[in-house]
Amino acid sequence: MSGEKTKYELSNLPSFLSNFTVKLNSAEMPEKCVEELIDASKNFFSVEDYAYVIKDQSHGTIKPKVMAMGRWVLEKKKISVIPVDDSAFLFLPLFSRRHDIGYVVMRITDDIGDLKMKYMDVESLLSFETSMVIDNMLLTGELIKKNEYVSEARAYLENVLNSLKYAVVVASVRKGEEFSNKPYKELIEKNKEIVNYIEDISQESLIYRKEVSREVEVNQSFYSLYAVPVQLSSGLKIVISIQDITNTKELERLQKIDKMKDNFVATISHELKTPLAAILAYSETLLESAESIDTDTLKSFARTIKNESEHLANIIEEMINFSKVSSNSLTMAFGRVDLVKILKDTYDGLKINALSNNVKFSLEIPEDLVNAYVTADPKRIIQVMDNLVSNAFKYNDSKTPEVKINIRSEDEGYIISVWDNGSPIPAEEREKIFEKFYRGSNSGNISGTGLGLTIVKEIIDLHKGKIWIDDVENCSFSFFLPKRDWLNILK
Amino acid sequence: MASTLADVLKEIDSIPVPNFVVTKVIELASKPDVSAAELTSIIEKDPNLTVRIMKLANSAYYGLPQKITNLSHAIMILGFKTLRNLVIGVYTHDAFFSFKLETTKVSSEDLWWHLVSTAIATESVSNATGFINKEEAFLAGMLHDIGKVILAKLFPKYVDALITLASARSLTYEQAEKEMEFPDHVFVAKYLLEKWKFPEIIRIPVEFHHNPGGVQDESFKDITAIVHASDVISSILNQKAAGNYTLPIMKKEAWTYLKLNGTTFLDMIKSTRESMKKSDSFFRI
Repeated sequence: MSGEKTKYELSNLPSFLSNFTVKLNSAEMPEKCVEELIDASKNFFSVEDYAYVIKDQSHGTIKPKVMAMGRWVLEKKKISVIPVDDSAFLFLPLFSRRHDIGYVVMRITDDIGDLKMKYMDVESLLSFETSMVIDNMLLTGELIKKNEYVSEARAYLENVLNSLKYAVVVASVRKGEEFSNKPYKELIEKNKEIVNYIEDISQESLIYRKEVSREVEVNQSFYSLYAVPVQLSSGLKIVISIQDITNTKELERLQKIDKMKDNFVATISHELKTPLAAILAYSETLLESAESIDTDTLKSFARTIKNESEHLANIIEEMINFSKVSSNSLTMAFGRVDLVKILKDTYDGLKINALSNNVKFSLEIPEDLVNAYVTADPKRIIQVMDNLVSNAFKYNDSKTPEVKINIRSEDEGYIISVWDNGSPIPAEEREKIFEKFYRGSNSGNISGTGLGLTIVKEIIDLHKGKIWIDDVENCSFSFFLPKRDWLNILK
Repeated sequence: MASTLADVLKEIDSIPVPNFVVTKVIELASKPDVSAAELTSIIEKDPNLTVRIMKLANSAYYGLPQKITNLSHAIMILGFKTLRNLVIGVYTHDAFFSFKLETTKVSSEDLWWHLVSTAIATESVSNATGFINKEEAFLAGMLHDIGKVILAKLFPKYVDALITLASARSLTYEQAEKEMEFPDHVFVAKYLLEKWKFPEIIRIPVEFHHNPGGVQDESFKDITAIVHASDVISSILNQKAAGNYTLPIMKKEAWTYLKLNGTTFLDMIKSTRESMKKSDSFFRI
């Protein structure tokens, strides 16, 4: 018998096992665990040499024949002593409930016939315990790797989200804001008020459990908000993306203006052609047959020519004004002026016009309002009044047209209204009507450039006033001019 | 037909005890100090047994990469307990399954198939649940329904009536047994194994394989649950071989004790079915 060796007596197995367990638990790597297992095995077997395989990694040289046996041992999950050539090999499989780990093979010099079952049983227990510890180590390793992967994936996603032009924020039901990307942080730094809109849309998406999208205007910037509810394992989340669409809006506006300009050119050429054709026709008639026409007819011809020329002049004036508005060069000559006087002058100037148009025209000034001083350019205010009143004449679709001007005093300023009994301006047009070249749906074949109200609004804005359409049954435009002398505020 | 317990016991007592070699192997395999040489010398006393064991050891079921040429090598390679199991397997087959039963509802081949497949299933269940005393579970699996074959041999009419009842009412063998006023197969097996001096680790799982929750000793709970699960798996693979006419269902205590779930259970069934493909040698013992 080679390797005459005193075998460990199993009388104190519990303390032997506890000693082994302590050593296993202080091992830091699977390889170290296997070394401990081999050391422990030396108490029962005369170990000459050893090698092992963990997760397909061989430690030590193993002949193919031995390796085949090792694979068999692992497959059968049986501890085995196998005579190969003239030595004997002790094979210990390493496996867990989860998976196969590998095996240990030791060349032993013990007499095979003398091997006792109890040593095999203990060996089996030791290798099983070693397997458990190695399995936990591998599992921990996998977890760490998985964790690394998860945080890498997270960083990747965050980078992607941060490089978006969209601001993205994720809100959870209980915790509120959970994640936001860089653009979002920049957005709320720039524009805090948008947070309210975001909260609203997120609430709505949460309550109805559906996607919600909308556009909002915050401090002259336009944003498109989009909220989606997402059910994750950690609960219901709302993902909100916000895009600054101010530029898109501006582009849309410019495109619209472009289209309006096209319309305008068409309209204006028609507008210019009509009076010109009349002037031409009448002046040709005059040239050809002035002698044969009676004075009355002559006078009527000349009046027509004059009227049409004035109309032309008006159109041209409007165009000049508009181009000034467009280039911000509408000149103003501000001074302290009495609105009551201006209104009276306007009224007087337009009275004849009203008569010839068959319009019942009136001016209402409260008895106690003797003067109404504001800081204004009187010529421009008259222009505004002319425009509003002639619109009221022109677009009034009532059979018995009626137009009323009134003024009332408020704490801060005066409100002047031009009312007519025609159909109201549809609600959806009330905003657009002040836009350049816009012509209302009722304009039909009434001549106009579509610039009048744009200029009016511009003038009122320059007076620090406001103009709007009253929400009444008929048609009523009102504008407000402040009482204070804002031009000489320092005095 | 015998109808009293005393009659039944008398009949069982008429079954001869295993021969000297088998009895000695059972005894030695329970002694930690036994050496390979000792076990070899006992088995070698029966040359016929030795030859048949060498055939089994070299069979496709064990699938060894190299041929085993002598008994002591077989003991070292397959292990003491596996050799014991083979000895008992050969003996059991010879003593109870090598002749034709008088029953018409179940054959000895059916019952042997059920025992072998249950034994093989214990290997899958042991591996999947991390149970290390696999050889004990294997033997308990192979012996768990030994009572059925004994009853079929001694009281064939009774067993036929029992299986007719099971088939008429879609019951398991065990459920039908409860309807009959007769010692059941578990009782018979328990009595026999005690007589043959099998260790507790074999007797307890056989006795409680239908009632794994009834095991009191903590150290036998796992092996009993494993034999119970393996019995169910074998019945799933071939229901009628065990005399069942409805699928037996795993007991909740065993299911939770082994921490099984649907996937692991299906895997066990699959791997048992795979192993059965290589189990020819057990049917040509």
